Amino acid sequence: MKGVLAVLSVNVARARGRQGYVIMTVGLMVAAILAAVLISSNVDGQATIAYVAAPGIAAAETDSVAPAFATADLSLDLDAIGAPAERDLRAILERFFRVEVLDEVPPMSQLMRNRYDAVVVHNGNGRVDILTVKSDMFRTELEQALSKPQSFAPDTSTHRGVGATIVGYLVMFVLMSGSAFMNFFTDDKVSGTLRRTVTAPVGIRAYLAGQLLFNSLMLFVPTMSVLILLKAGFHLDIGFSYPQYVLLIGLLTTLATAFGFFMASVVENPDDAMAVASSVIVVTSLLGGTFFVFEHDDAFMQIITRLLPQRSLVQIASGIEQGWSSGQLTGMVGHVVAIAFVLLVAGWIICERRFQAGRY
Amino acid sequence: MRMGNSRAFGVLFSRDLKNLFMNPAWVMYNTLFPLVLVWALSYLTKGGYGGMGVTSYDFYGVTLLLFSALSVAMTSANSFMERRIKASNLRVLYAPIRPSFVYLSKIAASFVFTSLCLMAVVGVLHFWFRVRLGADLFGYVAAIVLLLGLLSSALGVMFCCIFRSEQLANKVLSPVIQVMALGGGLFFPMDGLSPTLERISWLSPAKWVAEAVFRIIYDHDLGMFLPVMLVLSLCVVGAFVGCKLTFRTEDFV
Repeated sequence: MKGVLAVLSVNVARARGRQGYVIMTVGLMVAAILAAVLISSNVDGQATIAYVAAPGIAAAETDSVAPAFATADLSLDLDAIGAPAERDLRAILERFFRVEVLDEVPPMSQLMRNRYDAVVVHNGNGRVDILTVKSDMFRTELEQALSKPQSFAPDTSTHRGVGATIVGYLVMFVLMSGSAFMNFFTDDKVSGTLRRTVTAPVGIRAYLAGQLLFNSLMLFVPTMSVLILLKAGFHLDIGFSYPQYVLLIGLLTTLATAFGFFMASVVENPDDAMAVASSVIVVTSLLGGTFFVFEHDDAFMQIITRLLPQRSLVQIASGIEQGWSSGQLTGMVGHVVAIAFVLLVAGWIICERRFQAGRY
Repeated sequence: MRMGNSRAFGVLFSRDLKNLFMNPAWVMYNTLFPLVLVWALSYLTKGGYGGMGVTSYDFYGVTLLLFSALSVAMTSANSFMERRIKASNLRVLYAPIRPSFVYLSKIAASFVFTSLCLMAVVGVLHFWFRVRLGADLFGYVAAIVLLLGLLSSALGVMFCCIFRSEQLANKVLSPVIQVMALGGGLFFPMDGLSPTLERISWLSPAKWVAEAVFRIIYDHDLGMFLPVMLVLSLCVVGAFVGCKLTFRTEDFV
């Protein structure tokens, strides 16, 4: 314990000596987290529909749609589908979606960029054209909303609350910052300080524990502070309570530190470690569904993604929102902790082996 | 003297280019990584597309190509100040050639290297993933992507000059690129999420570039091409001036 404290206090002193570096790294991390929270607290999961009332002009004839895509995606005959008496399509749409009323059909690129999920063109002669690049499922949903507004209920199964969205966005950024303060460890390996510390009474255990603790704190404290500041200072809705965030962010920083440490032990060159780590983090975080919810139809991909700790982290967050039992949550927490543990032990063994082989 | 200069630059440039091609980590980062990312994201979101013959590859093929062009800075920062290369830079500074050649040749070499990688990626996107890249207007799309790559390459070196360390520059660049890409809607479409976010996202230059490219491909609309090229060119000039102002030979001692 004394050794751990010694390593911690030395690290604090080193951090003070490199104030520029520390301020820059923490500042960027805080900025990224702030951006993540602000973005995610604005997401409401509602689809945006462009409504164009253009009597007599079919969507297909408008110039703004590029020729290759000129065919209207779907044409609905309101009478044929047994539309209700309520003919005001705009009012129906506004009940379920965010609607923007436009004078003409927006260009195809706006559909591609998801500015609008769909364009509904009311031709005035009882026909409606629907343009969308979205899936059949979304088209069916829209069709149902238009034809049977009384019984229609939007599908909300994939919607996440504010808290789970914030946690999902944070995962990638915190993991990325995971190795930010591991470079004291990397420096020690190069400069020979590691050898001297480990052979001194401090020992390898206390040394590595100190480095890991330092790294975790440097991730945990700024992240938590941003969340507290936003909730207490700016009264922003961040979804979870503080204790819930302590658990979630604690798990996340543990995982990030474990991964950062593992990379720092395996890949000796910090430049290569950076490139490899960031590629792995981006791909696995996206596959793990941290930004949006996926349902995999492929059994192989299902197994792969279930193994990813990022997925479990986000599931814990949505689980808390949906009021899962603690038994269900414990399994997920266990998964994240187990992965972090495996990474830590693997990194530790590699470091110890290499040390004994006289590499440092 | 003029001839001597260009020859000296040629020697530096070809050496730098060779260095980049011989580093497997960077070849992978610039070719395999973007393709894996396109595949992974498109695979995950393929259920969300389908109308009007559009696939998820059409979206991510374009946005992640832009993301790769933004990430060129990582390569140039590395090629400029990696530990092994820093020492040789010092020797070049002692040689009787212009000191500016040190960074100019790194910017040029990273640009050429990543452009070749990006074009290889484009080939796979076109022939394998069948991504729509503008057909006969592809030249305009390519021009924007390559100019963005040049800007990113110069910015990577400029960040190194400012922070005087490649590691720190990488650490600063990486989140900056991520946030720009995220804000510009390159990882997932951002515009439809909420009207507030749509307005905020215009702060990200990635958004303008993506908008211009999507307009060219899907609307055959070249209206944003010249303004975007002009702004990117001005930024490139700014980055070169920034390099000149912040490059200090003492940093290599």
